Amino acid sequence: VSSNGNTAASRYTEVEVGRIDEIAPGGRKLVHFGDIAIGVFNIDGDFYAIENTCPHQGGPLCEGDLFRHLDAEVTEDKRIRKFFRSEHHDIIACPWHGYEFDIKTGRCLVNPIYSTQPYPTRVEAGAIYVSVPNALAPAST
Amino acid sequence: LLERPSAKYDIVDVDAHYLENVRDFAEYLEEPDRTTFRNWSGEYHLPVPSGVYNDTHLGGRIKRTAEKMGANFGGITAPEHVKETMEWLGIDAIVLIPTYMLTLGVLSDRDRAVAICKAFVDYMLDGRSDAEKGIYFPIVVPLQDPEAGAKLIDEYADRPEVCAVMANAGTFQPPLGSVTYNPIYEAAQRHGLPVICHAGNLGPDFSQFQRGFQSFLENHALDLVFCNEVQVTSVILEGVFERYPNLQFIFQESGVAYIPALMHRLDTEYMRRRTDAPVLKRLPSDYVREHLYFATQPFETSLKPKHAEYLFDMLGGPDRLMYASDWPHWDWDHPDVISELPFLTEDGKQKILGGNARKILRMHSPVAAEVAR
Repeated sequence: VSSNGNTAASRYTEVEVGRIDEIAPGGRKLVHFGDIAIGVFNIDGDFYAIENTCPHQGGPLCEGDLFRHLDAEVTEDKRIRKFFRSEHHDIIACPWHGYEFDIKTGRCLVNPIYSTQPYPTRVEAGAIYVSVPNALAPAST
Repeated sequence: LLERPSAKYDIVDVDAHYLENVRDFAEYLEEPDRTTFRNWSGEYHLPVPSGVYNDTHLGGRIKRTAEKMGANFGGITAPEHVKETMEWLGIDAIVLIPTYMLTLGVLSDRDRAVAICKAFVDYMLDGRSDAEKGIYFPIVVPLQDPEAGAKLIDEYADRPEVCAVMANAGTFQPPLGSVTYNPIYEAAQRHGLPVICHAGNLGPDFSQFQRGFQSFLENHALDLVFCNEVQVTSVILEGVFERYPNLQFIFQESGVAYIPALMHRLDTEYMRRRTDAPVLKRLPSDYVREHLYFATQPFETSLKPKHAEYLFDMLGGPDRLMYASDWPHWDWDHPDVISELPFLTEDGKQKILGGNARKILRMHSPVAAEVAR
């Protein structure tokens, strides 16, 4: 998909949402498209975008804090060992009820039916682009 | 964006938590209790549930209640927070349930229980409630002394801010069906007030059945439904509603999924052992459908809509349910959890969100203008 490429075959439009130096690692920027807000996150230099509405009770998901993925496994001697699955803080917790989502995939950690669809991102020449449905994209000039 | 339910419905929240400051309580006690409590050397005037030693807010994952309430997660601590809460949740009338006093049933000291219950009423009447603005609270009765509880109801029942009587579901013994509590029920029925029974989170260190649980999750998942199952069983099978046929109970903070399971359990056992409860004239579930109401929080959002629809039908439909937020506790519910249910009619949604509460609790404040018919 080319920048602002809006062909008949594509239902998505790439929209520039900011410069990479605007969002520090661990930071985020909220971008509004009409009634929809999308959070763009810098996870250790890579950019990810998810919608700012929690699928659980509609809370402002992108206002949540980021955490490392706390996980656990059953060890060979049948004990339980807790560990951090991720090196980076790539799990967002909704500030309303604490439901957790993987920023990179949108997967809700407790129940996949609550997962949110991430928006593809791309960086080119220092600019961050997010692919949004055509209906949400600002009218091209 | 979702259309906020406050725009369409008259919303009554039957369970939001005021964090009564037990230090402030001293000023509302009569002497010599005032001096005694003012100089109290211990940290708490009431037993503290072991649940509070856990991190209810998940290591910073739940932030919203702290943002709205400052650092205090336990409850609403100031009158201005009540107004903010009502505005942000879009609530037209609110019932303020105490927080520390949820453990009142654990207290053995009868005189202290009586003194605290009376002081709580004066404390709430002193600028912390306002019937004109839809801010109500229940008279919490000392189960330790039912005669004193009845006296307290008689003394304060006429205050417009009082909407109900409250008996805690925590481990007080005997359970609420006992004839021991007749004076309380008689007074409640006489004044036309329902009895609120709020689940008590006593924690794994308090409850014999849960001792040894390793997490707050384990404890809370069971504790807050088990205690109400005990009380529903007791009030129905011991014939409270044959003794007081106009009395209504509102059970809070156990969700809704347990209700049909318990109704069928009680019916089946009763049909095999009717002679254990000869005072009953109908099936236990018939009493549930006529005398019991249930606050929906924490609503089981894991239910598929088709299953939730059956479940509502099994427990008697929207007539039996009342929306509650439990704000500002960690497992609070937004009114969306009811207004977004696809199988409910508009009338059914309005009943759950506010209509049933307006009918059963004693409320004087006006119904939201937009939905007043």
